[in-house]
Amino acid sequence: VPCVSGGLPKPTNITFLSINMKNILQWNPPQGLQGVEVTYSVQYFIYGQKKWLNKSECRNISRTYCDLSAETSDYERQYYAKAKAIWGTNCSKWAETGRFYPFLETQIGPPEVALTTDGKSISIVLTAPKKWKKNPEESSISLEQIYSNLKYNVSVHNTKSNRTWSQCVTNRTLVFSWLEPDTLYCVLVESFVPGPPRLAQPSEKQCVSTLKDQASTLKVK
Amino acid sequence: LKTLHLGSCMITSSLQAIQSGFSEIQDRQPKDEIIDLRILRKTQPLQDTKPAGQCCLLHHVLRLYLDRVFKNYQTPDHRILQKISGLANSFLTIKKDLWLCHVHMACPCGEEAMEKYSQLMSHFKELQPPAAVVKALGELDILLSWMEEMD
Repeated sequence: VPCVSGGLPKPTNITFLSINMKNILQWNPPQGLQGVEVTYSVQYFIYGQKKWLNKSECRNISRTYCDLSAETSDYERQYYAKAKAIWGTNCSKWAETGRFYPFLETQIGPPEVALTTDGKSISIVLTAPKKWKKNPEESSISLEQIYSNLKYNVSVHNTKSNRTWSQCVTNRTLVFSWLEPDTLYCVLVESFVPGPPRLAQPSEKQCVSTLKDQASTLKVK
Repeated sequence: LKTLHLGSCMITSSLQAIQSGFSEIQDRQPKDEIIDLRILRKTQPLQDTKPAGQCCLLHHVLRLYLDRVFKNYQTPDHRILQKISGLANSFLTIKKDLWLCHVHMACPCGEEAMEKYSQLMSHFKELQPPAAVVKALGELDILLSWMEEMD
């Protein structure tokens, strides 16, 4: 049954939250409807195509987000999406996103960081983040294949001197020598792509300790 | 600085500065209401053009932006106009470098490049001039990402 459009206020702040091309449409409930059990429906549009398409899994949902990763997986295209609030026979007008361009807007997640030490130096091996994929069986696409200029901001913090050393690298293996003995070093790494500003997510902090001057076993925190 | 490889023509360009300049005005653009028409289409990207024709196609696209988009863009906001003239100057610099390649016979205009450019122009002409200017400016992120991939 078609609802009466405009009878409700629209959802607000509708945007895409995109990390490694996992593209989630999210919005806030309409204002002034606290306590009212509102549901939502979502449509999306491929820029340059001809019509809005329903997202069937996001029809009459009560949550305020909808995963459109599969529908927006061609990252070289641009998209719009919209959501409307429904309550009984009333519904809001559509609330619409701006043009969403996954290739330029997706946040680049942190790389995997493997940290090892021989007691005097630290080796860091980075593995580029992977693009979102629909099925686990699908072969993975590294974001390095999509962004040939993908770089890493590596920060190494000396917890004894409280000094941090950072460097922007493109290679994925780094060795830090001439370290202070018996010192805990903590490493953070961020991926980034030169170009339009994007939000970045640092990796989880990992720490490793160098050995005392005399031989002793290695402690990994 | 980024090096763009366009067949036998190689130029350097401050793509990142151009992208930053565009990002600053992107959110203050009039909304492009015509979402079922796209000027820079996925089927005719620069980077999929044969290397030999990339220089020519880019040269023509930059000329389109300089002569018919930046020149005709109208807004009361002087800061936006300032940013747009900055973008225009950057495009002019690239265009001059492409012209040097042309002088040195490194920027041939083959059939493929001209066919793609004429398709692109036909999409541009489908719209009224003011709407075409707004849409083309709004698609600058597409053009810049095509250029970014020409390494």
